[in-house]
Amino acid sequence: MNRETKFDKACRLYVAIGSAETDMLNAALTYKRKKAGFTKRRAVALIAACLAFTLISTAMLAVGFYGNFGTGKDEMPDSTTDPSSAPTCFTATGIYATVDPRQIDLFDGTRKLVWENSEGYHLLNLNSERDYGKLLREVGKGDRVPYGESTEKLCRIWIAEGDGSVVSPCLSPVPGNVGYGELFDYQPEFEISGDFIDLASRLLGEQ
Amino acid sequence: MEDYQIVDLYWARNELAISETSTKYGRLLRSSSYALLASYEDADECVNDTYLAAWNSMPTARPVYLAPYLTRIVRNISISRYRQLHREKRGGGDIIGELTECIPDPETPDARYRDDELALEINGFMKALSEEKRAVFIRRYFWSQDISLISKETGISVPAVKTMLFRMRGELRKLLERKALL
Repeated sequence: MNRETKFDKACRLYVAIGSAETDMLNAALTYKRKKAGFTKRRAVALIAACLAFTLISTAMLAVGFYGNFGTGKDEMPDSTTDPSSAPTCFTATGIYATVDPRQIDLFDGTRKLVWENSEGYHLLNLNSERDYGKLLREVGKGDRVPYGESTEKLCRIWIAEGDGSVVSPCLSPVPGNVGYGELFDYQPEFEISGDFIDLASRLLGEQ
Repeated sequence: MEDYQIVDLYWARNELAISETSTKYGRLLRSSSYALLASYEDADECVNDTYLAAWNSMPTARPVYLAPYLTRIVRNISISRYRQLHREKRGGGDIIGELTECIPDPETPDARYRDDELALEINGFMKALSEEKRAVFIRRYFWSQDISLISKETGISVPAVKTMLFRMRGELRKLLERKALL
């Protein structure tokens, strides 16, 4: 009897739903969920995400910065980041004439030592094949620059063969690190070795 | 053909009105009826009765939109058929079947009043729903659409449609209990 009652009630409900207003019935057929646009809520969420990202990045950088300077090794002066600790022969200003890097001919058959400091580009022609060989042997011999270390471009050095090929003592001596026809941009992998600095200082002094 | 042109044909007593109605709304009416009766044969009969009812109701009526107008007719015819089939299925002759005759005729003034009141409350319930919920409710319980079809046409996922319907049934149940309408 109870089931029958429910059945009858359901039928009445079905009929009652049929009495809905025509406008509502038509509107139901045309309704389509709008695709989410750039609402105010989304804008707030985006700003919050940016702020969170900034905060996390800053915190990570701070941890990395102080973490590195907390160790004894990294408290040592870094020639690639601190201008005062860079080799004197390359950082000294007012002594060596600057040159326009566009005027440096890398194909003239003359071996060259080129460096860039706060004044600009400087050029030293390497007349001795032996000295040139010694400098080349020091390529990639310095201490490795810690990964992620800031590498301010304070003193960049290139050795040019004279046939267009260019290498840097701050990069490992692999074919991928040989440039051609330009003083290429780079991020130092190695500090300049002590022998390289000694030799370069001597050659500059003889200039 | 536009709805008003079909209505004009009804008013002109042109039999082309039936074929045009069948062409434009035949499938809709059949699916509405089938959703209730689950029988193509019975649904076809109900649809044919709907055409006849539409023919008899126009020219008196001049509906602007034929789809809801015809669907209401087919739903009423289908529910009558459904009640009849249900009664027959339960089997005449048994005691329960005999006792159902004691149930008041729904066409009595009291029942008519209760049905009107129920219709009013249902309308109010639907109006109180958000546009999205209302669309889902009406598509399901008036247009008798399948849940997957509702999902496809509204852009709401199937689980979301199911959840929405479940919650709306619960809300409607509470309303009907509170108002003691059923």
